[in-house]
Amino acid sequence: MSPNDPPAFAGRALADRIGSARSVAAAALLAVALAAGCAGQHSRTDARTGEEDARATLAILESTDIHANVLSYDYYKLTEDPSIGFERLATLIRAARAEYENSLLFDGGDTIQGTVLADWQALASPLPCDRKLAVYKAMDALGYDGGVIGNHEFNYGLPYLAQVTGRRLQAEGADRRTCNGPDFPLVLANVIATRDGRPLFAPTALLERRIRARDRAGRMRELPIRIGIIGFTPPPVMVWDRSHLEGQVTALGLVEASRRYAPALRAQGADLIVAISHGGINPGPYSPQMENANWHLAQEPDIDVLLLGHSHQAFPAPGDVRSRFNDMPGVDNRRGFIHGKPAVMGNFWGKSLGVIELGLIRRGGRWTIDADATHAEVRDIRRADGSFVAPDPAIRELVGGEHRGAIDYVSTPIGDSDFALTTYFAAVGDVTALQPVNSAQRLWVERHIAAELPQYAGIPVLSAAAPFKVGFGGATDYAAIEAGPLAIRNAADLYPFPNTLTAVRIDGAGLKAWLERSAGYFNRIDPQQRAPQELINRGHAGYNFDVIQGGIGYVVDVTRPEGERIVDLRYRGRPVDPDDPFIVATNNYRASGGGDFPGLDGSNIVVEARSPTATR
Amino acid sequence: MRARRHLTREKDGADRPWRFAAVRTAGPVIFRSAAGRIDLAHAAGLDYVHASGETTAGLQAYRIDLGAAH
Repeated sequence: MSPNDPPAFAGRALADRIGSARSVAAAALLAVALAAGCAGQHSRTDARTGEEDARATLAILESTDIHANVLSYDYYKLTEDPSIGFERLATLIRAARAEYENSLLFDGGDTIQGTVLADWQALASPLPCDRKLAVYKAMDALGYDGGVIGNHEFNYGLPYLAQVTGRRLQAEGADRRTCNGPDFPLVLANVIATRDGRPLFAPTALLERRIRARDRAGRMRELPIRIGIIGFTPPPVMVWDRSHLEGQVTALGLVEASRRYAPALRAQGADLIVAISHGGINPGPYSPQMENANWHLAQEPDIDVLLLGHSHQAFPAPGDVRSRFNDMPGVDNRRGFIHGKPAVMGNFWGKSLGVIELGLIRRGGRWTIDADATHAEVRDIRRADGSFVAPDPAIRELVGGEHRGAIDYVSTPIGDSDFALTTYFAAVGDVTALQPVNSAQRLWVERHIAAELPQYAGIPVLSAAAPFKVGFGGATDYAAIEAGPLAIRNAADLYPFPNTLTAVRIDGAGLKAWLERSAGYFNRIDPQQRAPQELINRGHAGYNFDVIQGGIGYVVDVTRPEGERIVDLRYRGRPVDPDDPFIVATNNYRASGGGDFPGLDGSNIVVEARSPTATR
Repeated sequence: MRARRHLTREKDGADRPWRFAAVRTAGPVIFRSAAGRIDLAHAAGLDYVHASGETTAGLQAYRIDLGAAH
């Protein structure tokens, strides 16, 4: 309970959670919405100025970026990992529901991709139409009220997304049948199908619920509330998954999509509109292509609450002196507000649960937020003493078959190694985890060019690979393969994303620019400084630290400013001329513009393997 | 891996295309990685990396001697 809650309205710790009415109304036709618009506006005025008749506390719970970590298990190492997993998050969810008599549970996206379990169900042992995806089985056991489509939901293509979400999507190969999907509504307002010009998924949903509240006389009553949800995903998904999305869909900016769809939701009678926005918080200038535009979305009048994700962070983080949200303008990193709107981001991989404790006041039959009685927090599965909450045994029982199937798959032998392949020291020169990837990519592209693209014969083929796992998720988040027998799980450890092999044609100047962007992984070092200096730039993701191999050599001078650090760039011992041609094997993400590497925007792709020629 | 079957450090894990510019620094330059792995750094030829001893939540500070980088 918030210390600001007036005692008379502090109704909590009762067993019942939200009321019985759980109907979901799809967004109405625009004409209906416009006709109802005046009534909705009038009611909101009443809600702000009318006589108060009841108060309630509603907990909005958020999981996000689960990335198919259903169980607390590391499929790369074949060991339990209690620091992650929906099965432990489920314990936090059940505890929160016991704590709050009114609650709603939402998911912030990036749900179906990210572990070997996900790849096994999508690629190695394709899920039958009548079966539900393991992660959705687990989520349905908890009874979600809604969720959003994150950018990684598109990784396996639109037909697969249509299948596992149980929706017919207006896209090629995605509209043929209705398969088994989750029981809760999935909303997405800013991805539009090219075929019919309408949102690919329902942009919004209206949830009609009943909550327990205390009236002016102090009596507990059950009262109706209507909560609208609207979903957003990062517009750059069009770049990151171009091979799946080009020609099929377009993406709107968050602000533009909100202005297009949220007013109709309000007009339908939504007391509150919750944006489930798979994105982070960036106070920089807005553009419709902005990846983390929620600082701007929070300023939209029709958005009341924000549930965030994508950037794998905790918000608010009041105890973290290094939190980037501490000094961000308009952001309250203690109580969880952005421009006065309650907001939360529940970390990633099932590590944490986002909780917004909403204080609500009812006037004239409409509910509004009491900001003084509202705050957000992030609750971790890791306790303060370093131990972890217990897993919910029902979850493991539900997905036991899929879990064993994935383990059998990744245990398939593929070879052996006389050295350990790890990313522990990839940032300072170790290539043991990168060279096998680069060698495989380069070999495939060279053979493809020899067989199919004689016009590129004679152009040197290089390859770029990044150390994806560099500790962002903690001490176990490294590729770590011991010398000895190798299995599929080891290849997956080196390359955890279902990317496809792609090659681009660039020149020597482009090669240097590529390496300069990678070198942003390092902070600028002052040789005169006596105090310790951190080498690694925490704002530069490990997956954007490409190491390029295939006969080149280069020196990185970290004392120089970004953009001027690559010196002595050579190919086979000879200095690289800005006009020298190269073909570089990489992945669809990088070749299409992912990571904002100069010159890489999809226009210079010369080889594009189609799925299932995944890099792995 | 399937094509090669047998990976060896000499052929598959030792082609380092880049190095840091050698520069002496007045103070320590550090980075963090999983604790207790310094042997792997040295096995990979990174003898300019040293464990610094400070460990938090399984992550250890390592010191890199840029003056000795090669």
